[in-house]
Amino acid sequence: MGLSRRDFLKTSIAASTAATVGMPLSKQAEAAIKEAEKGWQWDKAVCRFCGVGCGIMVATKDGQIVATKGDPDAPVNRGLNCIKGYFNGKIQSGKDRLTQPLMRMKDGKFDKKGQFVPVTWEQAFDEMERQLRKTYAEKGPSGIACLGSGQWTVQEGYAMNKLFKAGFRSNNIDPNARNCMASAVAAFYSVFGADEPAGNYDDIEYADTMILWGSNMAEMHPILWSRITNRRLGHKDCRVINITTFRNMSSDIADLEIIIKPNADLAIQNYIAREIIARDAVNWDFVNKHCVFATGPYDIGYGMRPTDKYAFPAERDTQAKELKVKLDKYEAVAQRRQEGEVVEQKNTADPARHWLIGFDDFKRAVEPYTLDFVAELAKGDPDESLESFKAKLKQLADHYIDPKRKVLSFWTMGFNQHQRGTWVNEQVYMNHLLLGKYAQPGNGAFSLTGQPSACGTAREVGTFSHRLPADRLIPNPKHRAEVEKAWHLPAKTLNPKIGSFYAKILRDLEDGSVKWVWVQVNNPWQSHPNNNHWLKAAREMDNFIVVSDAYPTVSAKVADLILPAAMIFEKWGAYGNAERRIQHWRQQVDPPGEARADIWQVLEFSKRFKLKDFWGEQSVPGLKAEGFPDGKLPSVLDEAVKMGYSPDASLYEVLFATSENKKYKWPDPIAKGHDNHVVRLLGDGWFPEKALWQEYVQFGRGKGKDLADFDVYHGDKVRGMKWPVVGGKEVPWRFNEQYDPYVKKGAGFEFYGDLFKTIPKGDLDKVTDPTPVSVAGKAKIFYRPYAAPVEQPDDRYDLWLCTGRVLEHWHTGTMTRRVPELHRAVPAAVLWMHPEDARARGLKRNDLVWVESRRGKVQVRIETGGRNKMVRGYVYVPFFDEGVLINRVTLDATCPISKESDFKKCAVKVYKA
Amino acid sequence: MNLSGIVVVARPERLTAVLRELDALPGIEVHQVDEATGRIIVVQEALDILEEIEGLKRIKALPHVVVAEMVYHYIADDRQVYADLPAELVEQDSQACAVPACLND
Amino acid sequence: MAMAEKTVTRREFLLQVAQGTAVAATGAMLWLYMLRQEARAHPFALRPPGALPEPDFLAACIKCGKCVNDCPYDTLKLAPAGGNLPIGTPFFTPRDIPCYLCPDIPCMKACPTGALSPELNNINDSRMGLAVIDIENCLSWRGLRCEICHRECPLKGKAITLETHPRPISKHAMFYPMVHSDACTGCGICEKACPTEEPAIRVFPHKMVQGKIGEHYRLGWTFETEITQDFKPSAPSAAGSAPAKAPKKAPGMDYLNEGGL
Repeated sequence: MGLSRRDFLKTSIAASTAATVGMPLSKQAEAAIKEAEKGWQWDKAVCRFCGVGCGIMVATKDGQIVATKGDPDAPVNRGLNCIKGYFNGKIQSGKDRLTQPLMRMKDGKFDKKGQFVPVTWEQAFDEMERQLRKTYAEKGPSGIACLGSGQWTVQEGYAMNKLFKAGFRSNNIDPNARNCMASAVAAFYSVFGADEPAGNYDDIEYADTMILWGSNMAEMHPILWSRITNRRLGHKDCRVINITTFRNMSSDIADLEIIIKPNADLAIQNYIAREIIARDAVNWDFVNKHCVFATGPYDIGYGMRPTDKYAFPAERDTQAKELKVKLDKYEAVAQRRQEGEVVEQKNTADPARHWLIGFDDFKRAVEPYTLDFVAELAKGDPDESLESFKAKLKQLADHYIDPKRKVLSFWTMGFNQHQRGTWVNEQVYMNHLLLGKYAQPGNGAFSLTGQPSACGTAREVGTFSHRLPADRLIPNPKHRAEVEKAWHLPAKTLNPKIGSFYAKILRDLEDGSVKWVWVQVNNPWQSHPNNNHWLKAAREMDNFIVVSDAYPTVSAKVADLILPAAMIFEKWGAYGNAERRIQHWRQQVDPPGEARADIWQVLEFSKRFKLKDFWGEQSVPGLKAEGFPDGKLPSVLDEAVKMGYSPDASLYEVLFATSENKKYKWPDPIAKGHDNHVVRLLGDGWFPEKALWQEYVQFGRGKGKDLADFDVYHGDKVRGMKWPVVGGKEVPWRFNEQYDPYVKKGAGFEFYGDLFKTIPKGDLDKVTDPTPVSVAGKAKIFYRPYAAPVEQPDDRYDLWLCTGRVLEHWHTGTMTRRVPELHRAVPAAVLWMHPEDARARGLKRNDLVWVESRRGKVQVRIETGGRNKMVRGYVYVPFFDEGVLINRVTLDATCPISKESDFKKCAVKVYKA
Repeated sequence: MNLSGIVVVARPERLTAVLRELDALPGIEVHQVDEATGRIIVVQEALDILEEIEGLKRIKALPHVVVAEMVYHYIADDRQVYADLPAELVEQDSQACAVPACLND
Repeated sequence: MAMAEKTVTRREFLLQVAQGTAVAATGAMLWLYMLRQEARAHPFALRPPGALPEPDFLAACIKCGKCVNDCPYDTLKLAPAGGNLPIGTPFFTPRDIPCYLCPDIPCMKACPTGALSPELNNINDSRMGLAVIDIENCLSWRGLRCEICHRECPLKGKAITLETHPRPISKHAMFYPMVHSDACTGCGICEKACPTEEPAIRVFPHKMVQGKIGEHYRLGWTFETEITQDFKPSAPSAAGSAPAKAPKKAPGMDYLNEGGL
């Protein structure tokens, strides 16, 4: 302990003591405290939690974090934080922090049925390597998998992505971001051909109407919500509309609250489109120049397994709808069929395909969505009159259509975690495009993200089973070739078959097709729906599960090997927030004990393998791609030798510590005295976080995804930068000539994203002319029909269940439940229920109840008051509490296009425990 | 290492003498003095709780001290404390904490 | 079942110990001290829901401990000997365990004497105390998006509301929690949940914290501005409209009449 720290302690003790007896602070004491703070080193960093991306300042002294504050210079939050952000400095010091690798052992050897015992990193990696080799020999690249995260730093995600796709030649890597914003991405792709929003947070200060669709921003994006509120207070004509399935905190500020039934958002958006046309409000100038109309198949299933082989007996009836659906009366009207008609789901294999239609088709398609039809279908509160609800829908349409109003739509998980998540995302653009209210200050549709780097890491780096960096896709041969070239890989090293998505990896574990999984920075066995299946698969099947985490989570508990991870301020990194802003930070303190950064774990593990281990011929069941023999990845070893690689070269040398990367040396003046434990442990003198950043940025440059150099972000004055950064300048509004240098001169607007820009022509039901037509530069206005949720309350399970977060806790509570103050504030999850629903079941507030679905049940206390006011027939349980594993109850249906799970609707019953 | 903040009240007219006596005591630092009321704030550094209490008793026993009460108490949980522990204790300690009990339930 | 019995036994045992202490403590040496303690009104004590006004409560409470025994959350404690509360009376400390507002009010039902008034039908009508906010140390009043007290309040939107104000130095609004005495039950869930090191919202008995606007003044912008509603019409005198007699003496008369100028 340094002398200065001791002196500081003494001074503060004297001050506290004096204060207790009411003596004023002496001048010396005051000066001494100031003096003590002088020794603090303040450095900029970013909040660990949500996708808003607030800047924070971290003070360190003697290797400890001594304080944090909101960064007054950060444009996102101007010095403010929410209560999670306030506790950033405490998340790393929970009492049960993992500081050593732990492995299940019996008689000194790994044993799946053994107890956890501390082991060395060497022992841990030895077993991990042995298990990987065993599985790879048996099953090839499709037998291994990685469950990653939108909370990985950019460099961590980049390294793991490269190790899996280039090293192991496996595309079975998918982040938890799949369950967070995959639907948003799928729609960004299909509508614009490029991922991520056109606008930015400054839209708020220009907007006249802000509309929330399935987004409780008041709790989930607290600092952004204070900006919206400020706009509402300061701009007399500003209005806020909250469209939700129950009254949440965002309704407190809202001028109009519209409570709807699950999935009714699909119908309401079509009603608005119909109104736009009926009132002759289409912005034809914009639509003719910049848009085309499109649609796709309706019979796309619900992302469940096509077989009931693994279903519990009680869930078979829900699962059967994956194959055949009987249309209810609303779906029948919406899809121009008969009520009661049984529709075979024929397009589950390729649900994303779509084709051009004419405006007349589009107009005919939205025609049935009259106010009467939609209001009857959509009204969510049984205690509200139909007339009042209709008036609200009309007002909503008025706001969108009013030519004098700039309209900004926001959404989060209500749209994304949706059995038709891609459709509903496409629909929000449908209305903004019809009105020409997009990509201009204050006029936009803004997809918010949940995680701090869902954008920066998961999406931009492409750590999904179908993606490569900067909007490149696995099945696209040109994209693979570009990546192979950039990574100096022989042609055909990359596996052309899309890997397993997040839910599929868990299903693969259950059916035994995946037997080796590495989990980093997430907690699938708490956060993934229909969890009883996956918990059982982890413990009862023959497989090897590695979990890298900082704390003992549910997932760590079901793992076979636990690797202690370094946390945010214990490593160098970068996150990218929802408005395309990338922010970097330095390592502030060392990780405790033997905890180590995920990037070190990836790099160190890669040293154990040689090119010849993976780059020979590999069998990949089901692989069919142009230029590849069926079911085979060819050997690229000969080609590798020609390129100057030895088959005995390690993956570490070939993928990471390349001669190019080793030019980025440590120490580096940009560190300004900060350490880097990853460099220290690797011990070969290069600076991986910087080198991999510089390697990564080449992918987006010139493609509208330009990122700046590493050192730029670390500049003292820089508080992150919104990409594309062109000529040193950020682009605030993309696709708009006024702001975006990528738009052709004179075009006004140009949707230059190049994905899915050649499509066939057809009518509302089918392709009529398969010849692909180019729609380059244009955005697509999709018609998508209403579809009912696959599982709905019935006699046996008579309530809707929705899950989500609370402000105080982050996701599964791994960090926030270790902060005593946050834990005290919200110690346990509760089930929010309408008081009359409780009374009807003989229940009262605080009673312990069972909440049970076809899939499982958990105990929880009920709450009939407080922050969420439920409508009758609808209950809400947050998922942060491992004592209330609500995901044992939820349904693992997904949007069939995006493969994002729907956590927001399934049927349950509630009864006294 | 234990740090404690102690309020000492001395007869104001004997303040100088009491301060001199306090200065002579081991581990005691005088931080603030209120001459009008005779209140003195001292910080004591002690190895452990026993020594801490002994120290407080010594202050109480000083002539002209009316009251001496420990108001603030701090046990430094520094890594240094662990570093100073005998090696065998440290190892036991880490063995005990290494596997959170919940993992092996 | 065995578990439940065991729990009851343990709780009863603890209760007896507490009462035993009370009996033992009433030794001669302490008697006078205790009496003095009992006699003093205790403005700090937070009493269970439905408790009568403090003096009446102290008179009615027979210190049987039944309310403490029936509290499902261990919120209620019996005042120990030597503390600053009348020994054996029930109280609670919200920062440790607040009152979770059981809808069936088991503590009140257990009370044999009506010290916890059986007239309390709805737990939300209980007035155990009033939450007050230290606005200097409240994170929300400093601009942070905390508002935990508001969200955790079982009567959110009534007992605690948020007021929004623009923040002069940036584009972020401030959300100020405000407590409303007409709805605050004093359950203390807010005090328990407050994330600051020392709670910036605390519950106190109304008497200690609640101010009062003088009867002579009405806020001009509220509804109750019509004077006629505020001043009770004076009772008509028996003599009907007979003119009042002039008093023989009036204040200041002597001074005015004393002359000498």
